[in-house]
Amino acid sequence: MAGAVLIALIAFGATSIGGFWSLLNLRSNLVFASFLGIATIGQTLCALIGGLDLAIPFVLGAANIGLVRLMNGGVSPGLGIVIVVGLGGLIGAFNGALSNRLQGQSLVVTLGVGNAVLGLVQILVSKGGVSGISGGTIEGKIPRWIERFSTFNHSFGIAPAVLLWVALIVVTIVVLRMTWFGRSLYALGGNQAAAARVLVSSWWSWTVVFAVSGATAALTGVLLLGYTGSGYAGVGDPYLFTTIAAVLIGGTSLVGGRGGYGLSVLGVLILTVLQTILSGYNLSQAAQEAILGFLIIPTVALYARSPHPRMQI
Amino acid sequence: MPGTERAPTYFLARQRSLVTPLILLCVLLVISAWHGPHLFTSDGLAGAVIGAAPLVLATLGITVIAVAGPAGVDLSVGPVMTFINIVIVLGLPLVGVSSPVLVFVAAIIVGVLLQVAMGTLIACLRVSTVVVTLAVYLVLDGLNTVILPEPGGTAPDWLASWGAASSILSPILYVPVAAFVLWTLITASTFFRNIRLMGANDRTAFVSGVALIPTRIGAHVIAGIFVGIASVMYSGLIGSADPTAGASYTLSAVTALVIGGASLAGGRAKGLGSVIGAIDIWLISYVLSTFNFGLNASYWVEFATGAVLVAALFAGGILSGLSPRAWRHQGGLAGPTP
Amino acid sequence: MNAASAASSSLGANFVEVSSVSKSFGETRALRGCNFSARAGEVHAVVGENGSGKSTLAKLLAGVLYPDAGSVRVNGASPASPHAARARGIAVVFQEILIAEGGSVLDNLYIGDDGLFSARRSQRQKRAEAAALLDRLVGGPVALDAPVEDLSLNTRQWVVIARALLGKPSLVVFDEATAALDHSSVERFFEVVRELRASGVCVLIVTHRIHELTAICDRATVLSDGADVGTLAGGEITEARLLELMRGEAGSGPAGGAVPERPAGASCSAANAALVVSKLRLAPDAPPIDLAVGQGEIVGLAGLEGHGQVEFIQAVSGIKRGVGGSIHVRREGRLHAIDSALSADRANLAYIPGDRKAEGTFPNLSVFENFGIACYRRSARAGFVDRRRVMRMFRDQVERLSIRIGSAAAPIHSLSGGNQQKIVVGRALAASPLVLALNDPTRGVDIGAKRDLYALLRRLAENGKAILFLSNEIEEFVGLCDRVAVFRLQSAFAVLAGEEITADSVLAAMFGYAGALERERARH
Repeated sequence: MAGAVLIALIAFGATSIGGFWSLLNLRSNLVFASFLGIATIGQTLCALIGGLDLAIPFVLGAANIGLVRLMNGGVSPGLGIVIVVGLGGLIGAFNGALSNRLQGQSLVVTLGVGNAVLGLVQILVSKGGVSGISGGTIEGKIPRWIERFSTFNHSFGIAPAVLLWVALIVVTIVVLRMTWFGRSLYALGGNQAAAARVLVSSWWSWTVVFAVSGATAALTGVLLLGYTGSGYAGVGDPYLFTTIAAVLIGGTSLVGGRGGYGLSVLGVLILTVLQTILSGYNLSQAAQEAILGFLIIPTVALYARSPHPRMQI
Repeated sequence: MPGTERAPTYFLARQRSLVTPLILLCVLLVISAWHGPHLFTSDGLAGAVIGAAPLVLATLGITVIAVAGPAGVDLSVGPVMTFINIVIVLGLPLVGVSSPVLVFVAAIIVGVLLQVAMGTLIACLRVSTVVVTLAVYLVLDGLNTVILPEPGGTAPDWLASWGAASSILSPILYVPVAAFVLWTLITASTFFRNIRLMGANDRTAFVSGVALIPTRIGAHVIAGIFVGIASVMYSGLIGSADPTAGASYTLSAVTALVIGGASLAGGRAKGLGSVIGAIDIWLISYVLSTFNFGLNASYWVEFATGAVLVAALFAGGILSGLSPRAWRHQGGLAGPTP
Repeated sequence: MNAASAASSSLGANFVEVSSVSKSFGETRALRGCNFSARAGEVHAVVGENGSGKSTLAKLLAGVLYPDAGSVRVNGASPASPHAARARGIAVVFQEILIAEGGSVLDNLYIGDDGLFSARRSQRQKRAEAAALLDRLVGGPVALDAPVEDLSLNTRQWVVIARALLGKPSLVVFDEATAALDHSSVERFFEVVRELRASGVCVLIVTHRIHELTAICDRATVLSDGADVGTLAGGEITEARLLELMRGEAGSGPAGGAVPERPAGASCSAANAALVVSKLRLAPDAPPIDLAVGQGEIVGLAGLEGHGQVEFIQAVSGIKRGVGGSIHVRREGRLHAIDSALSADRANLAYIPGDRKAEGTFPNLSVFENFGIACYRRSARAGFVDRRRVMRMFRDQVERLSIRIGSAAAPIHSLSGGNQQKIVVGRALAASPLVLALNDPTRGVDIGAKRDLYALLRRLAENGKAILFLSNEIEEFVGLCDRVAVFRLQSAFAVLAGEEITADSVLAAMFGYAGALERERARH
């Protein structure tokens, strides 16, 4: 289904927009897709167990400015990335553990934790005075290899970030399909009590899944830093809804238990092609957002409707 | 006759969700009295009322959606308010409408229409509330910026003067009080009882003969009325049109809803709780503004709002003994209750 | 067929008329050309094995579903929706106890009674009517303002029945309405049904419990595989006749009790005890429970609803904790303590739930995955699932339990209830457990699958397993169990053994009459 939509969109773009196929276009699109794709790993896993992670954009932004602040403070870039991604994972773990204890209210938990984290990181970054933060932006010296990682350079042909995404796609799909942990997520999304009877720990699974989500969000923040070249707290804002949109458009239900990351990858590609087409028509970012919103409902209405109560008696 | 007298214990048990917002209110009022006593002057109170009123009314609006459940979180409320704000400030003068009554009527009509559109999609297509309101959030947030790229325009004079009110004995108090009276009347109605029972268990409501589609759309009509009134107050507060405020308003309203003790599983939410929750949110930013954070003030507000939301969830969980009640109907716990 | 046409022509016009109705859900054909009729003022039972279309028939009458072909008429009109059905005086009590959690008892009684904007009755009138009716049904006062989820399962079932009766219906359908009622309530339920009949109401009872309908029904229509296969009237309604109709020509075996004869009784001694429960308290003030189950022994657990037998089996399985005391499994001479589901698994104890929808099956997974999910963890190497090995285990169990499956990749709900239960049993057996704890495994399972299960349990016992068997149907214990522990007030009130186990003695003990038990003992 999602595949057909993707092919239709590509066909439409190829026929209606000049230069659609140019290599540059494809390369830069793949870089954008890999940012969204990596951030969507966590959202997909959360959706599979019936949760939703709204903290992704906040963790992403916090990692983005946090890493600049760490490097400005003299921390080596490699260690900085490890710290930032690790903290992202810890925040995610807290989200998952708390959401699970609070009867699965992940929407509000992650919204609250996300705001608290980004607010706190901005307060911390703006202290110290090494290089202050203004309007949410923080400047710093970004090492060249971080920049090159997220941009397509001529010697390599394709951005390393894209290769990282491809590797993560393989890992995620293999884990979901072939490991006990992956299968247990489907069980948990399908019937929580029955999952407990076959010794799937709901609390542990939620904690791990949200930790993955936090870590992938932080990783996206790092990659985006390489792409833009300066820290910006609001860099994650579009990812709040695009990650959810990619999951939904791919065909993973938010109720849990049905779908997978392969579908979300299709969702990410559909969104990316769509944005290319819309940009081809010279539509502003805001107008693109509006059109994306219009598209969510029909796609969801196609395959994410809940059954009528009459079928559940 | 047994069972016919109202047992006060059940009445008290039902008020338990008000404990968290009330404790928070008291704490914030004490801090205000100590650090920002300006609040308790005539000026300060008027500022408080006009400052908190839009959020209070918006939270009441999304409370109905939470009651209609399940997982009835209306994410669209911020951009919807911004949209109506733009309509009031830029749209209505174009057609020559500026009298108070007509502005209120127009705002309520736009609010109701938007909410009915969402309610129809949710009820007829059976798509989850979060997804539909998320889509509308994106549409309106984008549209608002397309219509009005930069903040601008001025509200009608009578409305702009509300933002600078110096006494609470003015429309800025009368409107919210009238709205709350309306709320009380609505919640006492048969129709609202049907919304509540549908939110608690839509299958039970369906087989018992409750017409689900009109009931759900009706819940959105009520929400639209309150969001419309909220938008008028909001326009008065800022005196102009601002396309960018949507996201933060959604966060504030949802936070206020949760602090107010609403259960997102559906069927359980109290208007009074939402009102107190919204006042709490406003007081948090007021209290923080009395500290000298300078440029960092907005970060502190963001941090405090998020932290209070998490703390309220914690407190709510502890007060209800971390009862897995809402979890159970999803199959979280099996076996009969003792 | 002949009986039906003869009976309906001799008496008044039909109030309910279902003619050649078909209804399919995807590939499954729930009803195929089903005919059914009932008159006002009669109690008419609808009987059949699981999946024979009884519940679908009830849903058609309620206006919840519409027929694909044929017509459903009640008093001359088709119920178009639950709303319309209610307006026409049709009330249906569904198999599942449908309540609105969070609402008060009063709200739940009158849900759907009000119009869109105005109430049909005043609040005062509602309270008075509701209090009077509930008082009579439950046999004691019920607080109308209490949240409905605070009620016991039994009282909740009454609330749902009361909701149907308060609308002054002319047709009432009870779909397994006695499933959650305890024994004394069932008697009151029969009284209610008789009163309804006397006042000219048409009462339809859908049930699995044959002895119930022999007690109160005027006529009984038997469904098999989505079609009606015959209607019995009055004295014709006997267990033997019903089973004969249900089984059709295939039922050539001895009709009658579904329970196999017990072979030479096993017993429990200190030497062969596999499960040892000592001084377990289910509540702080409840007496302690001591129970040992030997290898090769089947111990039944009985009790009125809410008297602790469910908590006991869940405590033994590590799902819930008791208050003090200890639970051990003895395997190869070593004791393994149980205090969590994980430790129960390590101790080689398997818990088999009967409420499949709540804690058994995964609706989103295939038949094979529903089986495999319990085996993956054990067979995983470095976290990776050994699918081939699990598939072998699956084939093995499908054969041993003679599970009828189409494709292993088909969704689980493509199987009948009995076969779903066999999958749940099979995945537990795949781990070759020493102790089995079955929590009402025959709930909603047809007679054929029940027999298979009884035979399986005996076979397992002969192979040296220790089995705990909780059931709500007293007849099941007779002939199957070596001993029966009867629970009362959160403790084991009596333990019956061997010939002492009769339906009457178990029932007497459930109600706390030790005297009957003594007499029984004296007789042997």
